[in-house]
Amino acid sequence: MSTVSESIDYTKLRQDFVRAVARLCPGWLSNQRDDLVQAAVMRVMHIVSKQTDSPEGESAFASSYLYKVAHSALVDEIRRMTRRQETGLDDAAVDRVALNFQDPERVAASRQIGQGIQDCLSRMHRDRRLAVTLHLQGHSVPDASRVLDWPAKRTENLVYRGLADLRECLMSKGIQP
Amino acid sequence: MTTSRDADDRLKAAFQSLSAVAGADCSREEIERVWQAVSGELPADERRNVVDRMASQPALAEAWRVAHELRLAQQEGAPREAEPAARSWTPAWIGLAALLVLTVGVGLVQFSRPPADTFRDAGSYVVESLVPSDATLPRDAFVLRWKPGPEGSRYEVRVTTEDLRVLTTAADLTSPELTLPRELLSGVGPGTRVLWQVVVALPGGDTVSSQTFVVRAQ
Repeated sequence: MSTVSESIDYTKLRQDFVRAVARLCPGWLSNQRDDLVQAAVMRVMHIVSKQTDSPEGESAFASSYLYKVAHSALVDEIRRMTRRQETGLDDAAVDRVALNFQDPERVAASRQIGQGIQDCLSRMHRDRRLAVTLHLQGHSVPDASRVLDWPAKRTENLVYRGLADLRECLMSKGIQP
Repeated sequence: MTTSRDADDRLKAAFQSLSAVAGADCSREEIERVWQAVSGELPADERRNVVDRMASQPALAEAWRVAHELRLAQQEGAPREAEPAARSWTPAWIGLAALLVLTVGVGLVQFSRPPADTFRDAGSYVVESLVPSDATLPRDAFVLRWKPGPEGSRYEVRVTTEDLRVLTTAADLTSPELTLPRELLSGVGPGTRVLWQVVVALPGGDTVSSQTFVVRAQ
């Protein structure tokens, strides 16, 4: 391990992962979340060790860059764990998950609504689509207005009208939102 | 009876669940742009472009949610003076985190997506441990073994404690096993979990990394 690697505060990174994963995956069992966190941290460590082997490594690992790497690692690990369940590589995990999640009909219904939403968004006026997309991602109006760099009142109106458009569009597809 | 709040929550959950449905993953560059957008590094018009693509790319939307939560966690755990106020987007949606369960949780049950992660998926080779998970290994024969890759593969192994103290790293191994000398385990208590991960450099140039395996020290 290089000096740069050793100077990185992996304990804090791990704690940050724990907090983020707890919010992203509240339905997972704690050991699943632990696995995800450990795998993500170890992946970051691997990337850091590779980067710091390079001549520009010392300057590359500013905190901002570390968290960019950490984000990418966490996205990858979530995908990987998801795929492991899908491909049956982890039967024990599948059993664990089966205890936790909702029934297939509900999942299928949610998926159908989701696909309807996606289609309706594609037909929506762009500004409304942007506001509604952030709303559906869980952003508040103040958050969305900051992301989009629009006044809060304008953002609120776009969310309101966009959601009305969305509901009308879904109803026209026979989907009761 | 359902309320408009319930209906709104269902819409959010349904939209977020799409990331677990079949569809292309986003590229490494897109994931980086998402992070830049969420952390405020991109100008507004480019942020809007990223948001627009989220409407039609569930994997991008998932990456955004991961970025947002990680960003919040980073800020919560940072010293007060660490983050400029301009980048500190209000964490007002923390309470909505429960909705994110469908995003990944639904995918855990049944959906499939084509793998796009070349780091993990190179052909059909998957790194599997040949040591039973959570097995207790004797300190004088602490041998980690895994399923070998194609001939010519090289292995890198990283071994840590649960609190991520690195016990050892070994690179450029030609044999799919690693023996930890007894002295490396001197600071590891009996029954303590030891984590290990293998990265395999395949002959064709691809790299495959394993999940994190767990064993215990006797």
